[in-house]
Amino acid sequence: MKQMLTLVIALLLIGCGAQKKELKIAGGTAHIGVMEKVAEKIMAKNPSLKISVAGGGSGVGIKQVGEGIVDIGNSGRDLKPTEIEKYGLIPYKIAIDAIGVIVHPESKVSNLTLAQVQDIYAGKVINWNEVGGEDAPITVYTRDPESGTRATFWKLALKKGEITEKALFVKSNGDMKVNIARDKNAIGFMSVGNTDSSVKTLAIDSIAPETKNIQDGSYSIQRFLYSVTKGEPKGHVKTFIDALLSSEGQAIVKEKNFIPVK
Amino acid sequence: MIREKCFNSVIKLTSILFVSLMLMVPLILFIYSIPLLNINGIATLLFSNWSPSSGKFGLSTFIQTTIITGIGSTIISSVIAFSLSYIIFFHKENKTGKTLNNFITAMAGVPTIVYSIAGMFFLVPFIAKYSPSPTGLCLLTVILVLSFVILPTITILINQALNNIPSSEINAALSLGAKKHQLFFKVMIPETIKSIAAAIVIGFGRATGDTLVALVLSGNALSKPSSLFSSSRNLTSHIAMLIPGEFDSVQYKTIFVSAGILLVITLVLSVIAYQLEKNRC
Repeated sequence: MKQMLTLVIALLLIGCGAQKKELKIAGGTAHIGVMEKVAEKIMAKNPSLKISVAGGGSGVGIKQVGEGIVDIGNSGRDLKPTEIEKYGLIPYKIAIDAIGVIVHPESKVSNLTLAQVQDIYAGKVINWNEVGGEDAPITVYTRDPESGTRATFWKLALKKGEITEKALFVKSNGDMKVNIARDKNAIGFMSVGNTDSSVKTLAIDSIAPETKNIQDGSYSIQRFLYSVTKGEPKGHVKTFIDALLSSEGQAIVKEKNFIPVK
Repeated sequence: MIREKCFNSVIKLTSILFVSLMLMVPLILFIYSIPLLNINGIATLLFSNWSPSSGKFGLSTFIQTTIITGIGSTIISSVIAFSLSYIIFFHKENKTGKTLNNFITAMAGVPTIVYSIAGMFFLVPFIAKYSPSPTGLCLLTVILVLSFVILPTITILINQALNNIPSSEINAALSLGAKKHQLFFKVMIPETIKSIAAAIVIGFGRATGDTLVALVLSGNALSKPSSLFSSSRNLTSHIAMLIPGEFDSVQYKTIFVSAGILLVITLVLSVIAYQLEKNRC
């Protein structure tokens, strides 16, 4: 009888001490590649842990981690002081990412000045032949309101200027890439880390978003990728954040074409 | 006896509960819209343009786009539905009619996401290449895909109406020497016109309420719908784009007003459809 009781109490204690079996991550779409790779490695070491990674945009990531809906929120923009205060958030810089201006791979244009980019997005320049391309109307693509990529691009490249109301809206970095790859006259912006050969990344003022130029700051349209927790990370959340910041995690950051923070 | 009374009470309670919950929907929409209504009056919301930077959250562009895509797709779909109903009715006995009927019935169950994806990968590049629209993401694309979405609904309802015509009338017309098209257009359609109108109205309701097709295929631009080949946002995709946003912002409250407008449109249509159906003799 006593043995049974001890066994039951022991099991209960173990049960209480056992950690949550699920880790939920959501937010910036630029982070997804890195998140999924790191999650894979951690799940391989902890088979009972289930990590889910979702997008939604930086705004969604910040709000959901603040409301406790997810454990880690990803943001591609700096957090506002009001956001940090309201939810008690702690942002961790996990990578440096530049935002590239992208066009169709067959476009004649390889370089634009910042002023030209601003005029195109404002709707003042409407034909590619005004900036050295073919005679074709420019289709401007922008991101949904939740996008941290868009917020950063608007602040640093467009200097908070107006975006033409004719701009088409897409809902993620991936969506942007698909649309630009399909439309010969398109111009858009996205996380440089997520670009590939299906789109062409422009140089701005003759400076290309290459690692060297990002690191020394000459390509100024760049931002940190943050992973945000509510309060001090504990348990599996701490494991994940530590993994992101470890040398292995930063190697994954580099592998995914971002720039490590360490 | 007691069991019966209990059963009746449960049924009554369930009905009351259900109706109350349904009535709460417009009430909740209204309550959450109040902060927005304090800033922009109803006139501003309905008739001016979307310009958050100047404090105006007008939905007029979205309302126009919703109505244009709704009407356009309903017209195209209704015309095709008539043709299909004609074929199905006059080939009721043989394989053509039966296969077609089964096909249409199966189509009715296909989720709209399937149409949206098909539209994105097949229709959009086609329209980009052969029309004035440079991207293929335009009102025309939305209208065409929506026509497919509502086609099964309208066709099935028209078929039902036609099948309810007493066969004695059909035989009478045929024995008087009526040809097929005369039978169809001069006897059957006029007889069931009210049910057919109700079917078309229901199709319109589905088209205006569809979110995914517009979200994926319209380009969601903020400019006014100036032509079939321009990109413009409608009410449903506007709601879908704002939902992940910050609840406390004024912008967010526009989703309640948008939902309210959609509710009003579909309610009005439902009442019309009900009246039309009721008055058929």
